Amino acid sequence: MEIAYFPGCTLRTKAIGFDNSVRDTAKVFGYDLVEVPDWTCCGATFNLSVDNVMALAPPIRILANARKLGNEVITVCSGCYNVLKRANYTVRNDSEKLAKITDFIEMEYDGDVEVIHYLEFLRDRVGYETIKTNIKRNLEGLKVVPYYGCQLLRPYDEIQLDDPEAPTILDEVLDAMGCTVVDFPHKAECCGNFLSVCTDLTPEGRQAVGEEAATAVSECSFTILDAAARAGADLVALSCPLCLYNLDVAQDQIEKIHFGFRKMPIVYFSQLLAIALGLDTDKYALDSEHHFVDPSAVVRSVAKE
Amino acid sequence: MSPVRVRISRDKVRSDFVRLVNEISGQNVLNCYQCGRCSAGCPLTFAMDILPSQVIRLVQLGLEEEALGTNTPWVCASCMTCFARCPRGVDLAKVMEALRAIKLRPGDADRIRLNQFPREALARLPQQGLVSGLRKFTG
Ligand code: SF4
Ligand code: SF4
Ligand code: SF4
Ligand code: SF4
Repeated sequence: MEIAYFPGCTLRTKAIGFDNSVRDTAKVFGYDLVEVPDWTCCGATFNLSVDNVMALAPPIRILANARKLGNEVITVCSGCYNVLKRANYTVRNDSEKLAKITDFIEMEYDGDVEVIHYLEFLRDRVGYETIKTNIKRNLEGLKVVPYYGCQLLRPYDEIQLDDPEAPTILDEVLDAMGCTVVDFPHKAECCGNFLSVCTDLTPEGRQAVGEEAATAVSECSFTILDAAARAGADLVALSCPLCLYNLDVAQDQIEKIHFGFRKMPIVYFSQLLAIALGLDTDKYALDSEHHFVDPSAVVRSVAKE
Repeated sequence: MSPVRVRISRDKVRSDFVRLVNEISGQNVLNCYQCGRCSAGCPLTFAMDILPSQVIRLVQLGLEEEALGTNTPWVCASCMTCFARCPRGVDLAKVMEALRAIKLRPGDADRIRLNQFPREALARLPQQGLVSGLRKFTG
């Protein structure tokens, strides 16, 4: 069965292992993900100024294009999901804004496309039982913490995927694929989001947030990773390329500041799903080129054959 | 932070500044009753000059310079934890965005510039981060 899919720009490049593993695992369950025609960047972060209508144009244009393929679209980057879902919610509840945008993009759209996260799709459409019956490799040896971050969950009124403070969907999906899921208290705590663009990259950026905030992202990441390590985890599974970057890139810095810190690989949940389903592990960028903390040893430990 | 003396007046409370923040954020900052739940849960307070609930208090009082003069809106990561917990339904993440917008919109106030980014860093940074960062820190 064919179903519309919006990968987003990061998945076609830096997070190619995320993209490939989503497409291939969907195929195992009998779904062909078809790219939305003429898609562009969604804007990456939902604009929080309610008087800014322009920022809604890219996501609504993506949804209008998705409409050509049907009335639902799957996406998997938490950023894309948040932007598309909130933009859709906004125009569904504000006909004036909707008219302005459709006028501007010269396309028709009336809010009738459902934005579905791949986790949601695995839960509601594929079903955990089907996942379990298709498992080819045993991942029991992997102690994984599910990390949700923010964009996947909040604000609840507009997203409605799961509990915004105590979510379980990723826990359940990881459990269905046979991982040993480790509960920890920082599942839904922010990793610092776009602040890494300021703090890590330029002196000018550090000045913008103030010198004392220059280590904000590595401190946030340390809090999360330290909690994961104390809970006994070997790796972190998530669904956001920016979360992955923040948690991953910060570890060199953290190691210098916090004595005894143990590095931990960060992977996308769908990469683990691909391994569990017996797919070719070389195809999903589980290497040091795409990850600062190399996940290949962990992958080898469970993907022997 | 050292104590700051501020002057409160009816004019300031009813100033255009308060109206502008409400307009851009779509919130009524006067709905905040200063319970502090937002600050208790904010994951970034360790890097902020003053707490998120203190920022909204300054806005309520129309203290424009004071509210815009702290690093708090620039450290806010739009994680929406505060909004998830606010008993008054105030979306503080939107209030923070409004404060950034007031600084950035007049133009010539960009906080970061693309040509300052080192090439090696750009090679690894996901587009999602770059685009988000530019949206938050440039006008
Ligand atoms: S959220 Fe990021 S990856 Fe997704 S479309 Fe937007 S910019 Fe691209
Ligand atoms: S990058 Fe940060 S803000 Fe974005 S979803 Fe991940 S944790 Fe949340
Ligand atoms: S949680 Fe809401 S009501 Fe309480 S101080 Fe923060 S913004 Fe004000
Ligand atoms: S949105 Fe900003 S102020 Fe609110 S909890 Fe997150 S970082 Fe703190």
